[in-house]
Amino acid sequence: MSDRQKIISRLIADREFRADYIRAKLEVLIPSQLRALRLRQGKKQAELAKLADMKQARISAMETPGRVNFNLETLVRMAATHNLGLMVEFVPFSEMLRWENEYGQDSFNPTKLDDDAEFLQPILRSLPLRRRRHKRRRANNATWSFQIATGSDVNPRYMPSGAQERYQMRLDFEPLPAQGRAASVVPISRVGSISNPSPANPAAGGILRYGT
Amino acid sequence: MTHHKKVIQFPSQPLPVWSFFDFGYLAGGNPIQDWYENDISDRARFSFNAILKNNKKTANHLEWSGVDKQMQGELKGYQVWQWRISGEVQYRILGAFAGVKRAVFLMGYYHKGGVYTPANALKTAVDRKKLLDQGAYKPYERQAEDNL
Repeated sequence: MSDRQKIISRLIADREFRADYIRAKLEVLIPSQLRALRLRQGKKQAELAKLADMKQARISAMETPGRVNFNLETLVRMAATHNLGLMVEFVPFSEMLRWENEYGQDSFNPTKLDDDAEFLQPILRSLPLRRRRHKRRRANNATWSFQIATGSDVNPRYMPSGAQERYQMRLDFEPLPAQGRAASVVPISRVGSISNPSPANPAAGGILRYGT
Repeated sequence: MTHHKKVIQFPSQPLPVWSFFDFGYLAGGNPIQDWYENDISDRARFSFNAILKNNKKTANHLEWSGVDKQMQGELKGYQVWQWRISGEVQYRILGAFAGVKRAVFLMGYYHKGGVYTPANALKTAVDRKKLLDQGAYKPYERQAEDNL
């Protein structure tokens, strides 16, 4: 049995082991996010402490993995200080792992309330998803876009609904068409980001655009 | 020819910037792996893995999570840094840079009330740092476990 399988077996069997696993991730990821938020603002711990009405030593402790047992109120206070919301959500282990793997301290840059157009202009929320994405991409002039000509000459809009769905699924997960015509990749422009407007991290919010 | 546009997201996982290695003696043996397997708790192993995952993607080492950069006492002047790893006790691992975006772990230990475990942890770290500077060591790459 491999090491991973042994750990999985223990995770399934042992509640305390599961708690250790969850705790270990949160003890690193929460301080890392707090540190990233402060560094992105270019603030010193003492300056942030003043804004949060805390002592500098407490800010320092919160940015050090394992030094603080966070309670919800502390996290709410820090979220409010940074002009951000906060989500605490029970999720599958796979999702927690994905969150950890996709998180990067350098690229962590959630939109602050002042810039949160979707929240500030709720009319945007009523638009269809693709139009919202388009608007956001235009608003955030930061990340890469590519256009890929896939070579198919069938417009999926005119396919029967089932076929259209399969076509879309194929495009989502199998970018290159199976008909033997190779896709060509044409960088077209730098356009906006969906999830992360950071110019330092085009990969975080970049998009691929497929056309036939 | 008609056109259909489909928008999907890039894979958004940040790429690792740093490579981490365990210090190994030329004669053989990986003391860091021995420490990892035998001397620390499950929780500390999870923490170490989480810190490793996070810090390998953080380009500026001054912004690493849980790092002590200016070591005092026996380690002063040896350009050694330390990560704190939370567990039932606070474990620590000492390391040093060895090339561009490469870091080598020298020694794992914990201490409480001035009592170090293992007792000669700091002296051993200094000895290994000297060997590292001379290139007299065998690096074993330490991969973060992305599937755990």
